Amino acid sequence: MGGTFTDVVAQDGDDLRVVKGLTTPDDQSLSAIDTAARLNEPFSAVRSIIHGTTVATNAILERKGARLGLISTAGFRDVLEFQRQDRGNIWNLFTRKVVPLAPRHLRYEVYERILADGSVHRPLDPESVRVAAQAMMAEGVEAVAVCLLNSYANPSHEARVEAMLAELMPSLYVATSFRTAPHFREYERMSTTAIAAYVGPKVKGYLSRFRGRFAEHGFGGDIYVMCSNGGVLPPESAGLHAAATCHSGPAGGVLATLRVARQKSLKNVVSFDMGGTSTDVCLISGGRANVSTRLRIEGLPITLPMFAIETVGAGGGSIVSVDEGGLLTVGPRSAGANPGPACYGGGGSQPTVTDALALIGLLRAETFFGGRMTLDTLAAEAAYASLARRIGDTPQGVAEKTFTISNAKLASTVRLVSVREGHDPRDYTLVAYGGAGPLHACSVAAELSIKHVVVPRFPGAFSAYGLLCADLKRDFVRTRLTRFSRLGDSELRQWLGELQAENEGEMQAIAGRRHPRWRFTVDLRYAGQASELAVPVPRLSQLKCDTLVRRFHGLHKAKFGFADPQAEIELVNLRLEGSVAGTGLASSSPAAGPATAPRPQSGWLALGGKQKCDFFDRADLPVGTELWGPTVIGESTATTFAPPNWKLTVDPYGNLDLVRV
Amino acid sequence: MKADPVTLNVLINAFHAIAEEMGIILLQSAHSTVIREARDCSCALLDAKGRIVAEAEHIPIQMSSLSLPMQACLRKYGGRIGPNEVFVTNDPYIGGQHLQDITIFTPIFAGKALIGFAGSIAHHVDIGGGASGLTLDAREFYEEGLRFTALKLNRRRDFAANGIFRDIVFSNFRAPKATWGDLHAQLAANEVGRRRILELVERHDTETFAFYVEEAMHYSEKLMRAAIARLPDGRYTAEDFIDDGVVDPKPIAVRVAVQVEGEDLHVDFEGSAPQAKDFLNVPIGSTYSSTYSAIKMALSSGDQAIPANDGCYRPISIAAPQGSIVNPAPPAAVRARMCGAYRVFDALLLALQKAIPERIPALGFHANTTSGLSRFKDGEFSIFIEDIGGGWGGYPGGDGADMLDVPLSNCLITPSEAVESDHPFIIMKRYELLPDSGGAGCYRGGLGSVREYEVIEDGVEFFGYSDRHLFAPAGAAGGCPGSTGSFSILRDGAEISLPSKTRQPLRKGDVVRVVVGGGGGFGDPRDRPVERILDDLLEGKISTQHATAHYPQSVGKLHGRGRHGR
Repeated sequence: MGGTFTDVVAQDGDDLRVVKGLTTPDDQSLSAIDTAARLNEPFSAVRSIIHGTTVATNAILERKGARLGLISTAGFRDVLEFQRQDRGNIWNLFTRKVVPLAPRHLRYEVYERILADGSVHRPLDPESVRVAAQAMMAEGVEAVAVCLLNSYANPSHEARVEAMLAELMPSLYVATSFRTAPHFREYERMSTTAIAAYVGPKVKGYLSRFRGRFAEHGFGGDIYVMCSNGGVLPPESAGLHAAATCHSGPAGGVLATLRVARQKSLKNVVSFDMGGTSTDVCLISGGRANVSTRLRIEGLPITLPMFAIETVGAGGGSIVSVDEGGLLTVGPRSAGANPGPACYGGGGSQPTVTDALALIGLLRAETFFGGRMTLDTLAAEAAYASLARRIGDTPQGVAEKTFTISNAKLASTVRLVSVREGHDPRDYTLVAYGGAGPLHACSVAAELSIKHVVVPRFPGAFSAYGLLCADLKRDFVRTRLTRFSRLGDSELRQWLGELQAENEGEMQAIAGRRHPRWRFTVDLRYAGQASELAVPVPRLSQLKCDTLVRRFHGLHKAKFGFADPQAEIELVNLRLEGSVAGTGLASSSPAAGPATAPRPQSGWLALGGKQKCDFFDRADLPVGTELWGPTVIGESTATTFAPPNWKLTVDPYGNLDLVRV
Repeated sequence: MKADPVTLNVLINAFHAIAEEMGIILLQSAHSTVIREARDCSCALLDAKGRIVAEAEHIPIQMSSLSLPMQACLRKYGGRIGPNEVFVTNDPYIGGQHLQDITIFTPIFAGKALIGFAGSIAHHVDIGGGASGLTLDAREFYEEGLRFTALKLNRRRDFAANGIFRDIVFSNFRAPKATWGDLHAQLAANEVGRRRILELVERHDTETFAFYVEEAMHYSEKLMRAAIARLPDGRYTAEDFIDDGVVDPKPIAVRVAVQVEGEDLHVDFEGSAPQAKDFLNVPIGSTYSSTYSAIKMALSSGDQAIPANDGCYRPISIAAPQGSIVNPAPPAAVRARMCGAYRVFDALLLALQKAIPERIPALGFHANTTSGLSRFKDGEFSIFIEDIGGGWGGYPGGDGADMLDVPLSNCLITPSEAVESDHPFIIMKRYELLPDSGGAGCYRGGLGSVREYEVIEDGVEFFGYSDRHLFAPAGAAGGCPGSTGSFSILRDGAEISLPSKTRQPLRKGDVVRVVVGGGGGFGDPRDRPVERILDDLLEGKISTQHATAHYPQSVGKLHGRGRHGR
């Protein structure tokens, strides 16, 4: 589900079909069923549905989640509001802080105290829990986040509060920090727990509505819900771990990219998803997508493992302007979906990146959105006219500069996500999708000396396609602050084994009859450091602390440029990922192309002077087609541009393979 | 060469991105709590002349004036430095901050040509001196720690296991292991900056690089000049006071005259108090960066920020009398320079309020509150230190932020769980917003807070310094003042009040209470919408008494709305 469009991708054997509908924001399940109905297949014949929903994300964006309470250790209810006392723009005295999800009068305190070593300094006072419960009932609180100090080291008090609340207020949605994010640093843990509780009732309610609606129409198969870690969960689990569905939208695109990478035996890939308002970039190294536990949603920290997707506010709708210093800038303001770029004819009059593409000739009125939408090139020219006068250039000249600047901005984002992890972008392939991604991809790649770009099938509905590629997945974490040198192989093995044993039941319930696969990771750091590096543990039976230490030094050297073999290493978190391969659906899907030779239309591009260019319809290109840039490939939801010196081939899977020669 | 707007845009963004990446590396690889959790550090790129090209946006007081020590290093060595060498300095008397802020500059060579420097500055928990963390009775900087005027060190030789610099650090600093890790983090950050600049030069060649460095500065200068030109010409004066000195418990004046003439702005501190006998002196580097920061924030708040580089500061000239509190002569002590730096900052805001009253916010609780606990046990020091912010001033269009770090800084508060696991002799007791602490106004001041630490062992000392324990931050445009802060110890059921600059031995079971105040209000309180007042009451951010006293429009509507959270 997107803000504007709903995409449905249906797979039947090797056959893939895509339909697009308009999203109904008040109840996304309506547009889901309406759009799916357009496939003209009986729902009773459908085996499973995989659903990516923005209900959780929107609840936070629009602040329409549950009436949220918080229970904290006495003296610390304001931690949620203090945050970490830092600010984003350091030069702004008119700073507004992010408003906490639980208002101050709904933040309750209980008397108890656990210390950093897990010892009980003051036992939990049950009376204070009862008082809080009574107050919450009187206030009509719908969900509560429970986050007590040092509960990562000893969750017994939180568990007790949870049990008491279940008895006192059975209808209350409770999220505890020890179940949601049992790691140290109370603000980040509290924030994650608050998000979980805030979106919980809404997600839970929505998913049961979704299930009901499809059941009414005869669907009797399994439902899975997409999560931000790239896995899917059954609706019951997703309702319990609702925070995991936040920001799950872009995860589908990353999964689909992983699929394409595997198809083409590519180990190092950057996913490049450019839409109307922003661009999402994620690094895939050695066949695995980069995962982070330090992301934010609307300024609120969320520490669940998520694909480390970097978003930059540069999309087709980004507005171009000249500032007081005479500098031409692209964004951060955007014309968004409404009014949209001037050339959409929706009343927009400010020059945008899309207008620049229209002026350059990369977007053409005849084929725009498969001819279903009009493209007003004159409006685009008018939008650029005054800007052009101010800097003494022609509208086409400014449009070309706009294209270059936005490509540079996008390139710097790709550079950032790769160099930050110690990788060289030149070793990567760019997989481009989203409405605008394939237009910019080769130019962005050239800026980075990247020589290979892939534009997959259905680039406009690629994220939805990605849902078909997901595994069932749950992440578990446990903080164990320990000097690593004091730890023996068998002890670490035992701890990891315990973590698995604790969560085996839950994972087995999700997996059904299938066998879960387990992957262990340990978060290590040099004693005293703030941030940890995730070191994968090969296999439990072969676990050697020495090997982990060596790998940690290596990772540290790659990322920070130095390693300190003498320094003490500290274990922070044990992590466990349980997964079950595939939801039984996605297989690779080679495209059957038409047999006839493609016939181009010729036209002109205003790029580096006027140059001739061929225009093709993607549906006309059979597998094995070879073309040379400059050439433009149109399809209903996206346009691909191969600049001069790029060779385009349609590969056996139907992907467009672009290579710089 | 003619500047191409596309290349200019691309390179300005690239410079900035490189500085930011340096900052990320420094934070992620540092060892001590003060850097990794509190982020008391900054990074910058400088050109071969030692001028700032771009900065990571961390701590304003450490930024903006880095070119002073950089240029002093270049002068001292006649601009000569080798590819394996670095400059190391912490000297307040060549344009540095206090001794704890150590700066490292790594040269960037493209082939044989020196094209610039990658620099990083970080606060180190202890660098020797009379006492751990804070030497309250220092009368000269010699008592505050070691001074490195402008060392030129070889990265391989002097930082090696038996290297001279490592030897100095390990034989003079109280927590050498963490400091050593932090110094390496600084080197690593600089190294990243160096590598990235070289990649940039590879793409654009040295000449183009140098040309656009100039152009980037020129661009920022244009923006700053345009902003100054919007100020009405004239002379605007103001004064502000440090609460008291340690030696001489009397207020210390900072006086400023701002002269605006077209696109130029001259700042003169004539009339400010003579230098203090204790550690409150503001070295010239701190005076410069507080001045630059105040002007930049005052002129760009609510708008897009001007890219920070040398060009921003060209339209601004500064005169500070020799031997005064804002330009002390050696060997004056400078450890608590932030007290005076904030009076420089606030005096400038007050002066600019007279020029553009509709644009400048009320004063926030602009006092750096440093609070620390140290323990000596089994031959090792364990030192905890953190900076606590305060409430911000109300501004045209919004309430001041509740509890943010102060504007010249941007340190994170240390998680209670990190304090307790790193320093098991401390238990965090309480960390709460302080109701009624924000000044009333159409837009009220942000709230301050109370933070309490319990010590559960003997042999621990509390040290701290703050300001605004006597003079509350002023309101603006008819708003009321914010509130003052305090230090105290809770012992045997009594509260023992402490001075604002203090060092105290503690007993097992003592609770140290640190109160920071709220900001001033902006605009007449009678113009505050009743709905906002009732919201504040509901959330317990103001009391019924406060509402009755300051907001007559709410009287009669309060019934049943005020409540206490607990």
